[in-house]
Amino acid sequence: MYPHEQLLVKRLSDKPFAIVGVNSDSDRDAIRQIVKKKNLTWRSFWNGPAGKFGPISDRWDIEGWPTIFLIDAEGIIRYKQMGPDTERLDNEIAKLMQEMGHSVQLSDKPPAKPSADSEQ
Amino acid sequence: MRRRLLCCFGCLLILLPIACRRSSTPRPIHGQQGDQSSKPHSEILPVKQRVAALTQAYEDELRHFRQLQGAIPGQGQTETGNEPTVVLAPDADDYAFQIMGILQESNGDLANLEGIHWILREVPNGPNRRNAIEMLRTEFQKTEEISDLLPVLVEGYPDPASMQLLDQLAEESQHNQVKAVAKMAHIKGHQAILRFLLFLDNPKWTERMKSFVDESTLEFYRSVASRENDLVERLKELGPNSAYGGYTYGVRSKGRPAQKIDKMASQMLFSLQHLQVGKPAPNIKAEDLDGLTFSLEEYRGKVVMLDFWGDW
Repeated sequence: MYPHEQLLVKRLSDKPFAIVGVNSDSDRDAIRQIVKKKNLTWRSFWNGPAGKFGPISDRWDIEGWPTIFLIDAEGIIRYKQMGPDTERLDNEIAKLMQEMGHSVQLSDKPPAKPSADSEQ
Repeated sequence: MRRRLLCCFGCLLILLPIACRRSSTPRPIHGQQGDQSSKPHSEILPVKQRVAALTQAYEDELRHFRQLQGAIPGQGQTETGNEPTVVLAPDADDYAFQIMGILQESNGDLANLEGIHWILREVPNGPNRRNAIEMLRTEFQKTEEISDLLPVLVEGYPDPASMQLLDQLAEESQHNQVKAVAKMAHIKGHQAILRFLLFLDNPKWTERMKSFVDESTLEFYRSVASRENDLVERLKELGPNSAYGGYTYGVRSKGRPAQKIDKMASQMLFSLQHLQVGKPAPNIKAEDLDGLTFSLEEYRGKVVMLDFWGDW
């Protein structure tokens, strides 16, 4: 996933977009090293020493990792995804950016018919 | 590859690995089948010890397999590619077959629960699993001890027989402990089914998901999913002030520590009512990896990708 996230951060660097992580590694020092080494630039909450069974993931009722929520500028949950489906995720992010008036291209393989997206 | 409740990315999606594992037809077993009918083993060693010896043998074989796997990269796994596979992973189903043989000699003995538990945990499908569930239903339905085994029934993709057993126990058991755990396990199973269907409906995963279940199971899943509204009602039954909320769930689950049922129920209710598309995201205020507190609300005005991740 990291390369995909890094790509998103890069491609949306000048747009109102942010990745916020909830990290579920129980060893905070170790994960800090990894974040540094792999140059993961987005900020993450730490789920605590219980790792995958920490308070944030419990509260959010996370059943599998990774799980991703897309939250719009108003703070509304707009999309929820379990598992790595980067293509779908890219599409959903692009839709939300579009709503805010930012036309972005996230996938390397562009959708065949860009006009089909504006269905409203 | 052991079954895991929460999976990391590689084996992710949900419990793919559970369903991936082969459920081959039992192979001939180490040449000692002939003795089995001539003299009841139960006279030689108690069931518990014989089952323990088998599960220990499986663990040993698995450890050996993993060591070889580590020592010879690329071997031991059934990776695609043309290299011959040298080391085979032990087949839990073979062991399950032998364990069932032992259990059938001593009907109703509480020590059998140990063996049944092992099979439910290690064998995702097939006749041995079905037999274990059937034995649980016919011989242990009235016991209180059955409650410890129920969560493991729904830790993979639940089979219809498991869900029916849970339903039955939730209604008919004399023990509130059993009722409470059965109710919660049924809900967990229901959610696992909804997750399964979510993946099934994603064209990217459809083919793969289809390979894990047969037609009749799929039909059963669809019928369970159509009763999604039951979930809220069922969860309310398990709240803090209910007759069932005070019990503990998942005492013998692998991975996740046991939890109080009322706490689980209120978390799950919260999720159903608030963590859905179209609802305002609850705030998170917590420390980051450097120990500095920040909050999700600070990102209002931006599209946020909230990513529950870990480095595995």
